[in-house]
This record gives sequence, C-alpha cells and structure tokens, in this order.
Amino acid sequence: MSMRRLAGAGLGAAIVVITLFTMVEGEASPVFDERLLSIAVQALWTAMMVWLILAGSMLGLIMRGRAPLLQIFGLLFLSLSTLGILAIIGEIPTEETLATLTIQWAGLATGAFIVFGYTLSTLTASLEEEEDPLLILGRKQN
Amino acid sequence: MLGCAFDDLDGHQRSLHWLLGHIYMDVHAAAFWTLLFVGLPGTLMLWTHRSNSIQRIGFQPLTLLVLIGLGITATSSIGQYPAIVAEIGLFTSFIIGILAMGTYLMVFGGVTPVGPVPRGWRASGSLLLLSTVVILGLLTTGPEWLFLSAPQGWPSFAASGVVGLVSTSIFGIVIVWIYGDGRWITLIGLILTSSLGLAGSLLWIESGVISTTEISNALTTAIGSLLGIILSAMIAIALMVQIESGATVPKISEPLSDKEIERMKEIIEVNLGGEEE
Repeated sequence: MSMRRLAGAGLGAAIVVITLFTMVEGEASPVFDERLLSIAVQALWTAMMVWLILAGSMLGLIMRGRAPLLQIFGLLFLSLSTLGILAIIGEIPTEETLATLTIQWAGLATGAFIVFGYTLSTLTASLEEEEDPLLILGRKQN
Repeated sequence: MLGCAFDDLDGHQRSLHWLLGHIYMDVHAAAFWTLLFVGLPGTLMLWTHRSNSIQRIGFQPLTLLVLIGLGITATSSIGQYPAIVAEIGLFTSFIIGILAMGTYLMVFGGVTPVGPVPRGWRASGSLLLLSTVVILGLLTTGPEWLFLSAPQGWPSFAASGVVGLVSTSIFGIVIVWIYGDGRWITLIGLILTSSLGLAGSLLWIESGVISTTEISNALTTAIGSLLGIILSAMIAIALMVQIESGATVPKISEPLSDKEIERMKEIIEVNLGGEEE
C-alpha cells in the first residue's frame, strides 16, 4: 500500500466530506477566517487533553524507573504549556467547553464505531464458506 | 466572600464571583473531570500489564472505584455539566455495548467452523447491529410513545455522531475502492451508510431536532480534533523517543566472566577459521 496514494485518497475524501457538510450547513456555515481560527483553537484544546490523557494512562508505569516519570512530567508540562498559550490568546476552556467537547468526541467516536462494526460485518458476511485445513486433512486420512 | 462588583464592557454590573465562575468549578466538578481524563485512562491501562503483576491485580478494584467516584462527583456537583456528561456517557456505553456484541457475533459466528461462537448466531448479531441504529434514531427523534427520553445535550451528540458516521464512511469508501480487491458488498454497505447518515441529518435539520449550527460545530470539532491528535501524537512520540534513548539499560543479567569471554573467543575463532572445535 503506497503511502503517497493513501495520502492522496485521504485528502480527496476529506475534501468530499467538507464539501458535503458545508452544503448541509447552508447559511449557518461560518466565514473561512472564523472557521480556521476555531479549528486552530480546537486543535490546541485537543492536544492539551490528549497529553493529559497520555500522562494519566502512564501512571501505572511509575515504578519502572526514571524514564516513565520523566515522560509523565514531560507530557504534563506540554499540557500545561498549551493551557498557558490558550490563556494568552484568551481561549481558556471553560467547564461548558469541556462538557461540549466531551459530548462531541463521544458522538464522533460512536459514529466511527458504527461504521467499523458494519464494515467488519459486511466483510466477513461476504466471505465464502471456508473449511478448516485440519478437518480436510482428517477426512482424507479416513 | 467575593462580593466586589465592577461594570463590564456592555455596562452590566458584574461581581467578581460571576467572573471567576466562568473559569473555576466546584470541588466535585474538578474531581469529576480529573477522574474522567486522568483516573479512567490510568486505571484502564493497568489491564495491559502482565497478568501476575500488581498493576493487573489492581485493575478491577481501581476501575470500579474510579467509576463509583465518577458517579458520586457527577451527582453531587453544583454545576450541571458533569451530570450531563455522565448521563450521555451511560447512554453511549449502552449503545456501544450492543454494537460491540453484534459485531462480535457477526464476525465470529459464521465463516470459520472452529470459531468461538456457534454458526447460527450471525442472525442475532445482525439484529443487534440494526437495533443500535434504531435506538440512536429513536432517541434523537424522540417520538411521544417512547418511554425513554434523551438526556440533555443529546442533539450535540447526535450531530457529532452523524458527522463521524458520514466522514468515516466516505474515508472507508475511498479505501475499499482503491484497495478492496472487488469487495463490492462492503463498498455498497459503506455507500448506503453514508447516504443514510446524510439523509438522516437533513431530515433531523428539517424537523428541528438538530440545528445546522450543531452540525457546523461538530464538523469544526472533528477537523480540529484530528489535527490536534496528529500534532500531539507526533510531539508525544518525539518526547518519548528522546527520553527512552537516553535511559540507562536495566541490568537483567550479570556481565560475562573472563572464563566465559575466553570460551566465546575460542568458539568464534574456530567458526571463523573453519576448523573443527
């Protein structure tokens, strides 16, 4: 699977998705500058939360020497630095923002999971019946 | 008490408490968010440790404690947001649970004769998969006869769900189209899923169940989150590689003795020279 081909396909799909939803949005679609700024702020919020979650998920490794501890502190430092940048630009997330983001992430994950479930099911359902080679071997011996 | 007052830019008189209320939260809410974003990932990752390790032993009780803590803090918080998130989390876990069970039955209940699920269970799997979409649709539409009402914030969840569903389907269509080796059933399934998602979102917008603003916000969040995840993953991996490369190698065995080194040299010389040992 060539990475260049995959990247091209991904970019094409992204353009299709954005065009479709911009059509659905209609008049509610924000102007380009506003949307770009919102996307940048969302990316910073997400990065901050991802580093916090990663630091949290490494807590079980604390007893394994200095490296995990350094990584946890490093990730916490990155997370807090992002919070600092957000405070400087006046986009510090409030509790409402945090709740909205969590709900939206849950929704996005559920939508994606539904597609994965259905795709896996159709993939296995479209396979023809296959026999276990060991069973065939046993039959020949008989 | 934070009682001092000031005038804001619009001329409204505001107290300092009002200002700080936008930034700070009560102790229960702070505990809820910490448990959700630090405690839960921390305890769930304990499951990945070796089965006889202390971390793995602590996995179940600690996860249970974190879940109980989430419930207690969500219900006792003064603000409404932890309760809303917890309620939506409960609904989502229920729906994802049904979906995961349906997928499991569909994948393992058919083709292979030595699978972990008996062959006849595939029909039940497809029924569970279908019921997931029906439950989501009913909760979002909210017909009068439905005994269950959707929690607060559900329209935002539904709008994001539609955006996630359609985006993933379209990416899936492209991948299956290019690398699918003629898996047409899967391709048709993905086209149907994306079309149904789009049609559903248009119908819900028409009937006023979800708004175009919510779809717009969900799309912005989806793009921003994807970029944020890529950025944070790249920086986190770079940080981890940097720290791990400088870490000292743990002593797992004693170094070779002089006698062992001599013996090793003998063996190497014999093998390099082509002589018999």
